[in-house]
Amino acid sequence: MLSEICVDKTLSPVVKHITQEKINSYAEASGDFNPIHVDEAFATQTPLGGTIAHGMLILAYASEMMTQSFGRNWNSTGKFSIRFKVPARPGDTITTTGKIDSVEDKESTPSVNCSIECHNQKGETIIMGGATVKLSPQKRMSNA
Amino acid sequence: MATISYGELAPGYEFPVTTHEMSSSFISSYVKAVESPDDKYAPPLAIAACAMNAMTGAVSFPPGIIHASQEFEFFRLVPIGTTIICHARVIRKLARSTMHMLELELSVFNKNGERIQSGKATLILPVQRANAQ
Repeated sequence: MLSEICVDKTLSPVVKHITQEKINSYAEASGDFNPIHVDEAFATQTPLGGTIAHGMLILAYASEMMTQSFGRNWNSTGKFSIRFKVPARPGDTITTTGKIDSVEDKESTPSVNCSIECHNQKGETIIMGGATVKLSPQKRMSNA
Repeated sequence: MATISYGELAPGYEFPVTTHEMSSSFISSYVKAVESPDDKYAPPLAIAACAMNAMTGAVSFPPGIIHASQEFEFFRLVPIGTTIICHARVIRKLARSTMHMLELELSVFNKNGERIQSGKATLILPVQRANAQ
């Protein structure tokens, strides 16, 4: 959990390495066996040129970062709005980063707006977007 | 299980409602797959994955369809063992020169009718595969 909530505070990053085995494991767990993720022969025939990770797998890493920073407030009040920019592929190392952009006080409930981004080892942006989480009213804000 | 083809989907179409149990075995395999810590509550993205499946299981999507954007809002903690009820409908379907785009709205409730999660997903598909369906 973040010790203090203030504008420009960076969230602890989450770093994951993507393998085809992990993609297959996510397909098994989620039930999403779209061949673009799990069928190398099919995927190489598409413009993507090979298998790619599920977008929801990468988004789960972003959600983990938010849970790490905001605890269960994220799981019960969180809000995501993201775009998938470039696919994540087997062999990629995905780093998820975030920063607090603003803190609003809505009806005595602090609401924290963050920008989030996942990028690969080449610096390409995989996911970009924003996340909002409402905090318990008693949570003290350092900039309040 | 697919009941409708991609070509037949139109704005306003409501996918069959599905129910899923956030069983400990499902959550266990999910958190292992995404390498996240265990908790007594279902991860919100595990619920979202089920909601997405409510739709993909009902439609014979052309292979190669991919995610372009996603919105989610979470409304409450979901204890492991909870049964969730997933609704999904088509908001927009666009055909562009190089790709087709499908916008979907997702809503998830518990058995008491309380909203757990809502969201929007945009999916894209290379045009030649969309036309083949």
